[in-house]
Order: sequence, then C-alpha cells, then structure tokens
Amino acid sequence: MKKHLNALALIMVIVLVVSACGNNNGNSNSSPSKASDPATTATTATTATTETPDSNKKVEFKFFSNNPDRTGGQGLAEQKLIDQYMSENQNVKITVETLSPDPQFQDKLKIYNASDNVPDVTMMWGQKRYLDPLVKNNALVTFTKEDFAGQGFIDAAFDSFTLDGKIYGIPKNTDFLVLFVNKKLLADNGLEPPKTQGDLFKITEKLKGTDIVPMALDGRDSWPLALLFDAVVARQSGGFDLYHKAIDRTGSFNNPDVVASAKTIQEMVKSGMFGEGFLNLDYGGARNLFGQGKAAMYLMGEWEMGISSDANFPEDVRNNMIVIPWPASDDGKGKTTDLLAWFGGGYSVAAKTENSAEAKKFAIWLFKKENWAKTVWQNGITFPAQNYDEFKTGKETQVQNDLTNILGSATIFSGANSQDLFSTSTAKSYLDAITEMMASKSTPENFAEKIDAIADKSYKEMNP
Amino acid sequence: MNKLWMEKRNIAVLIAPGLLFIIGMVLLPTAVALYLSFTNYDGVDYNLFNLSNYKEIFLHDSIFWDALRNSILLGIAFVVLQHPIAVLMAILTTHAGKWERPLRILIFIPSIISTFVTSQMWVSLLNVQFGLLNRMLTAVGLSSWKQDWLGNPDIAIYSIIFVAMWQGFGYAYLLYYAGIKGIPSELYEAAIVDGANKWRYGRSIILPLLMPVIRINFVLAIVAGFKQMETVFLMTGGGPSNSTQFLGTYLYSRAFRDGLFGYGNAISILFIVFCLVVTLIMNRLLKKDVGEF
Repeated sequence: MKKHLNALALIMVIVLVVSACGNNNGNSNSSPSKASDPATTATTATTATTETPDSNKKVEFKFFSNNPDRTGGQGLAEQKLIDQYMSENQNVKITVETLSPDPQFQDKLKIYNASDNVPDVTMMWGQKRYLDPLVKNNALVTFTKEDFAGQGFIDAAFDSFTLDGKIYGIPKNTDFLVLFVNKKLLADNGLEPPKTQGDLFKITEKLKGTDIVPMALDGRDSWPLALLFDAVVARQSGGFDLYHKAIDRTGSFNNPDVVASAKTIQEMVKSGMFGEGFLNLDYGGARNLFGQGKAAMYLMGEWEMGISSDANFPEDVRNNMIVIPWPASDDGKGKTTDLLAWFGGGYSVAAKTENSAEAKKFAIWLFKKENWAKTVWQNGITFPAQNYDEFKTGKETQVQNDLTNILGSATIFSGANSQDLFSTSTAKSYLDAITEMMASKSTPENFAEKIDAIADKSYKEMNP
Repeated sequence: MNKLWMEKRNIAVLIAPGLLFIIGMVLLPTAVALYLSFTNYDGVDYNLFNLSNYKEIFLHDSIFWDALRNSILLGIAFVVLQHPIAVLMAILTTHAGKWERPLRILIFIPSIISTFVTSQMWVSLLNVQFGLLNRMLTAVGLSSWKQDWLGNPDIAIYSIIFVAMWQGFGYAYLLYYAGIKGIPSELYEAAIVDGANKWRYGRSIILPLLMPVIRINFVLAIVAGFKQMETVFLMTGGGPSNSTQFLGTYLYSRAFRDGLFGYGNAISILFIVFCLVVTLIMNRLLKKDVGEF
C-alpha cells in the first residue's frame, strides 16, 4: 500500500511539473515574441526555403502601432503601406500589434524595453525622455540623414529624434496645435469664429444655457491641457521663449506671465468654456462631442484633420468644419502666426531582434516620399514631416487647406512643446500640476512655483 | 495508513508542487521587488542602492498617503456599508419564498459581468452631459443636484467607492447567503418551539453562527480595498489631479508611466506590509470561537 502511495505521489508530482513545462512551451510559442525566438524562426526559415525557393530567407517581423483603427486615419496609412510592402516582398510577413491611448502604449513600450523585447518597428516619440531609456539599453537602430536623402524631409524634423548626434527614429508628422471650428453651429447662434482670446469668452457667454459645449477638450489624458497651457502662455508672453528658458533653467516659470496665463485658464474653466466634466472626458469623448455637433470648437493637433472625412459623423457637421489657429491675445502681443508646432511622432527600429536589418530596410522604404508623404496627404490623414507639394491634387478638403494656410503663414515656430522637454519621471508631475490648476486645486501663484520646482528637478535629472 | 501520511518524505513530496509554485511566483518576485526597492532601477539598470525611495515616500510624497487614505476609505466603506447590507439581504432572501431564486440571481449578476464592462457602464451612467443619472435628475426637477460625478476632484472618489461596492456586492452577498444556508434547519425549528420570532432567530442564532464567515469577509473586504485597481484605472485613471489615486493605480503610474521601477517596487513593498499588518490586526480583533453545530 505504502509503495503504491509513494508511486502515486511521485506520478502526481511528475505530471504537475511536466504539465507546467508544457504550458510554458505553449506560452512562448503563442506569445508575440515569436520572431525573436530562435527556435521558431529557424523552423519558419526552413519552411520558407521549401515553399518559396526563388525568394530569399523568409522574414517575419512585428509592427507596433498606436492606431488600433486600421481602416481610417494613420492606421489606414500604415496598413496600406504594410500591405503594399508585403505584396512587393513576398518573403516578408509583417504582423501588426496595436495599443491605444498613447500613455498605455508608452507604458507597454517601457515593459518591452525592460524585457529586451522591443518590437521590430515601433511607433516612437521624439525628445529625450521617450528615447533615453531605449537608447541606454541599446535597443534602437541608428539612421543617417543619407538614408532619407531626396525624400523631402524638413531638415529640423530629425532634431527631436537625435541624441548625441545619432538619429534613432524617423519623424512622420509635422504636428501643430489648432482649433477645429463648427462654423454653422456658431453662425446659428449669431457668432463668428474667434479671433482673440476675448472672443472665446464672448462665445462661451453666448452659448450659456444651450446644451452646446463651447470647446471640446480631452482633459482626462492631461497632455492636451499642457498644450493649451503652452498656447495661452505663448499669447500672454508673446512667444515661446518663456517655457523653453524655464526648462533649460536660463529662465523661470515663476514669472508674472505664467501666473497671468494660469489665471486666464482658470477663468476659461469657470466660464464653462470646456463644458462640465471635461477633466474626465477622454480623447474619443472629446472628438465625438465635436464630431456629433455637440461642441462648437475642438482643441486638438492637426493630426485630427481626417475628422472632416470621418463617415461616423453627420454630414452637416463635416461640411461646416474649418480650422483656425489658437486666437491671438487681446492686447495683440501674442499673434496667431506664432505657432505651437513640433515633430512629435515617428518610428524606430529595434536593434536586438533577429530581423533588425530587414525591419530597417522596411522603415526606410516606408518613408520614401511616394509612400508615407503621398499616402497621408492624398488620403487627408495628416501632415507629413516631408515636403508634400508635389502630391497636392487640388481636391483637398477645407480642413486640409486651412491647415496648410496656418502652417504656411506661421512666422514663429515653437519647436518642442513644454511637456516633451521634461524628464520621464517629472513629466507626469508637470501634467498633474496643470490638471490641479485647472481644477482650481491650486492658485495661479502656487502653480507657477510648483512647476518651476518641477522644471528644476527635471533639469537636474537630465543633466546630472 | 495514518503513519503513512505522517511520514515526512511523503508530505514533502506532496506539497512540493504547491510550494515550488509559491516560491517561484510569490516569494521570489517579492524578494526581487524588495531588493529593487532600494535602487533607482528604471527598467534598464541602476546605480544607487540606498533608502532614498522610502525616504521620499515617507517624507515628501503626499500622493502616496492620499492613495493609502483612499484605499482605507474604500475598505471601511466595504465593512460599514456594503457588508451589513449584504448580510441583511442574505437573511431577507432566505425568507423570500418563491422570490428567493430570482432575487439571488439578480443580486449576483453584476459580479459575473466583467469589471471592464461594468466600469464602462458606470462611466456612461455618470457622464455629466449625457449620463443617465444627471438626465434623470433633470427630468424629475432636481437639476441643482446634478454633479460632475467623475470629473470633480471632490466627488470622484465617492463615485468610485460606490461603483466598487456595487461591483463587489454579489460576492459578499453570496458568501453570507451560503453561510446562512449552511445553518441546519433543526436550529430554526428548535428556536420556534422555544418561542423565538424571526427577528430574534436572526439576531441570536444566525448572526453568531455567521461570525466566521463575517470575519473572513471583513478581512477580504479590507484587502480588496487595498488591492482596488481595475475599476479606478478604467473609470478615472487615478485622476482628476490624483484625487482617486489608490495604491494599485499609483504604483502602476509611478513604475510604468514615470519609468521609476525602483520607486514602484518600494510602494509595492509597503503595500505588502500594510496588507499583512491589516490582516493581522483584523484577525486579532475578530478572534472569537463559535460553538459547533
């Protein structure tokens, strides 16, 4: 009996251990890291040689995107080009992983980096705080400007992806902050698109009592709030030097213009300009509010230019959309030709994966001007960081033309926006401080002191 | 046979798989977290080994203490509001006759729907402009009671607590209900023969016999308050301006959003310590033997 029980116990243990191992194997096979698993890649390679003897080695790599919608917007552009590349290169298979919103995407990228598992091609943001952890881990491939010679890139576009003289990413958009306006909704209430910040208050006053939100604002993500702050500070101080200097510590946030800007923003909130509950309104919520004709204006970057061709929204709204720059200051000091513009998003290629070289080849192909620049412009998706004049069709939408004019007539460009200049660990405190100020949880004076202290901490972290 | 089971080798062999699992999946990661909590690990490497994370938490990090306060608040709300109601409902449903079954199902349904779905549902219900709640208030002429339920930093935490209680109600109820069902019917008959009414039976027989269940449930509730993460993350993400931050969401935000994995680990270690201390205290406070039945 005892013998039997011993045997039984032993069998149970073995079964458990073996099944546990089995599970592990199953996991690693089905996990997204397939391409980097040498065993799996080896098998794919052998099957490839038998199936397609004429092509070279079969390669498979992963494209990590922040655009889950593959049928519209930048997701559509990515998918179109990926499909085209795969049909031109039969031996290449590109799988797409998507994750949204951006903060979650960035979180996951950090985990991928910490576990040495960065996807072959990944969406990336310029600026040191996004790039630094990956560069430190030698996780990214470097590019040279020659890789993109003749593709019409705006020269400054690579700056935000350059660290210690090396280029770690390819900029995809020229980003700038604008105000989308539903001009019919305004006209119905006897109003005109705002020219000054004072007009914004007038519009808000007039729309009081209707159920129309004057300006849809995504407050839950907090980064749009920081863009709003940048815009108001720029108008108040007449340029973008203030925050640049405060962050590189040749100046300070503890400045009357910052206090005055914070006051203006708090007044905007109190007047009901952003509607109730904007602090818990997310990206999609704000976009829908405007798209469904429930908001008269919508503060967002130019990358939402596809909103006027989004079939989910009523035609009545789409046909009446125009785009204007953030209004000028009442005293005329801050002009609409001072544009908060930056090169934010782009793509990077992982250095440590099996098919790194192939992925790099794809990334360079992707940014041939007849690929990315042409696709995004002609589909009305976004502004490339490349010259797109030759791809103009004359059939551009009103929104596209407005945006072109805003960009074309701008005389002063901000360079990076303020939040991108903070270190990784202080960026969120900075955004939190802005949210708190907008929730009237801090006075303008306290706010100015607080963000100045954060800027100081950030500077010390970035320049040890 | 008895001798056989007592033999140490057999015991060791039989518990080995579970033990290995706990060591590998719980104790080892905790040890690694403890080690990293003394570093400035950022996901790639670290170059410091000292107490600075803990110093920062204890001396300067007010958000951490707010998060802890919110966690405790939720735990208390579970114990003082959710559980008494759950016990009451459990006792009442056993007397509901033909309604017992439908009621039981109705009360438990929210618990089997995914947290993601119910959280999103509540986000829509509590929306300022289009939410059902505010629209109902307007419809009945109480528009002055309308609130920005999730966007106002002063109110958001109470909305979260309410939703978390609603989501967990089914399980709390089910445990009590099962506990009551486990009480033999002879006791009821004996009590009736002795002249007790239903109220007296509930107070003097059911409640005392339910004590072990209540005790476990209380501990679980407090720990659930500490562990709260997904509902908050889905509904407010800890905002606005950190007013609904819980230990779980704050830990996530420091480690993954700010890239301060060392700091996040320090929070997680304190998290474990708090949970252990609270469980210990609760067990001491509620220790009382119940007669057998």
